[in-house]
Amino acid sequence: MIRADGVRVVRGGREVLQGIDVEAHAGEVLALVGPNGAGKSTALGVLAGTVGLAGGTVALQGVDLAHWSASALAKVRGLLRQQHELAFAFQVHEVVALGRFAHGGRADDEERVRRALLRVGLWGLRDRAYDALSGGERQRVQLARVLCQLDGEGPRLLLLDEPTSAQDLGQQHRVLGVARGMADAGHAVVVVLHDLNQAAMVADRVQLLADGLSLAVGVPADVLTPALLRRGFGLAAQVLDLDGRLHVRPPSLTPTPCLPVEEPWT
Amino acid sequence: MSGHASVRPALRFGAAPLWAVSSLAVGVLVLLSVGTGAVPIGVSTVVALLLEPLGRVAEASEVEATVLWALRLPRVLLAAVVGGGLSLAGALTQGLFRNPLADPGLLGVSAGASLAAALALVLGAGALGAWASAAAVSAAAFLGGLAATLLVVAIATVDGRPAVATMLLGGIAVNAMAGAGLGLLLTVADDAQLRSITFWMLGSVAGATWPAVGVAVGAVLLPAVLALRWAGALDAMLLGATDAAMVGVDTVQVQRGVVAVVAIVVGVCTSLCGVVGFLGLVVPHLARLLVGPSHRRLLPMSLILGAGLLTAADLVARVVVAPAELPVGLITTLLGGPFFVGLLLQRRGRA
Repeated sequence: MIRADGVRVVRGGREVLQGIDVEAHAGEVLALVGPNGAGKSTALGVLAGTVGLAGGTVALQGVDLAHWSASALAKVRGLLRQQHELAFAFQVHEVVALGRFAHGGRADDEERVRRALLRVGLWGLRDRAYDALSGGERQRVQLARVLCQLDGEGPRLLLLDEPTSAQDLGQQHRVLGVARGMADAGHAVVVVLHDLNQAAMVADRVQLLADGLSLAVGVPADVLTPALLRRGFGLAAQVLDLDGRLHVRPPSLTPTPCLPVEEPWT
Repeated sequence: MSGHASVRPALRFGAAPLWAVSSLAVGVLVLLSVGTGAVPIGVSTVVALLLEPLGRVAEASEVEATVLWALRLPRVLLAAVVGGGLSLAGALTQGLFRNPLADPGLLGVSAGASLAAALALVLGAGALGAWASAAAVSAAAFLGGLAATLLVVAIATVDGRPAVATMLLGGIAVNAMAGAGLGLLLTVADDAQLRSITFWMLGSVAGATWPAVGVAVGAVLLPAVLALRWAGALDAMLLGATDAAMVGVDTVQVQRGVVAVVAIVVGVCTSLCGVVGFLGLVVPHLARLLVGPSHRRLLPMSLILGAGLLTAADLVARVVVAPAELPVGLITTLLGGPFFVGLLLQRRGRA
């Protein structure tokens, strides 16, 4: 579905992606994991076509992203970003309907808006003012907008940047369920996640990034290993197999002194 | 719970009645305004006179007919069209800057137009005949407004795309420079020129002529229809440029188009009537209260409300100190200023 080869991205003189390959197929969830500043969100931006490349290529359905028109692209790939700015007091259903821009006004748009809001559990808030919602609710409204954008025939590419960051435990489960459901329906999903247990639960494959490089990619059991986690995160975590589900267990806390005399981590 | 048919209520306030009532109110205001003045004309006579070209016989005096066709009607129509145009431009500017406190003046149009108009007057345009003088000042103002906007856009364009935040700062700089230039002109102007410049800057529709109405209709209504095409894109752009591009909006094209429409509409309005303040800032707020923030409804409603408000303001300007009259820009600013402060206070309370 989407394939990035040897992608390099330079920002502020720093090479934030140093030549990585990312590939996601229709019908699978690929989770991008890694420490802060690893380049996960940048990699997602590369797949979305919002980030300029210093090298490498990105092809969607075999066609270079540069050759896609903005509106054709908008019908096939959607991106949920981490930050959302929305000026003016739109109602929830109006925000979701903005996802239909590239499709032109169609009679069944209302039905698509309804479906999207039902999937994220916000149908009951459809007439609320967006700016009166909580952070978690806004994040799910934006997710509904992206789902609404991608509603239609044919395989789609859904890109999610930390979609569970503002969600409670129950809603995290719902959001991951939406991602899984999209993949099961034949779409490709690439999701940036901090929580490795969430990655293990939702993803078919996991890719571990660090310092703009790809350390490993493969099924969760091959990537979420104590050795790779130590390399990626500098932490001696255990990986448990609980009833066939992977569970990453960090070590017990070491309290950091409030007034360090010398650097405590050296 | 209503069924899912209610996903998109056509309007927040029951659809048709709101549009009908507001349009009707503008019509009534126009009729009232046309009938009011030194020679009062009853509403029925006004209607009869207006229908005369259609073959109806009107029972009206020669004076009434002349006053209506030569003086009142062009003036009232100019006020309505300019009011609608400035308000539409205001709604577009607020959408472009994604800020409900933005004003077309931020693009430098009014400041550039004022500077150029003052320059024309100081260079002796006032000494020409009444007609030539008005035409020269209008042409200068339009070109000045356009030049200032182009300068702001040039300052803000990076790699072929306009950076909206820089545009705001560039607008402030261009406004300041135009203000300084205007100050310079005011110090060298003689008393008569000073009076003309001051009057022009306060804004007035008193000099309305049929050609002016024609220009206004062409330069305001055509771009307004064009701008309606971008309503959906402007809605999506309120998500921010990145998300708007993600859903398929050509943000650069829309930004350019909106700036062009605002520059032309405000440029023409200012060149015909001088500086009419605060309308572009305040009317979109009123429209948003009535129909919500979606540009599909906001743009037409701003046009209607703006037409009504400037017609009303012009009526007030002619009545309060009759037989003299106040500049209409003074009225809009007197009313708009406190309204704007109220908005700021309300926002402060919410933040």
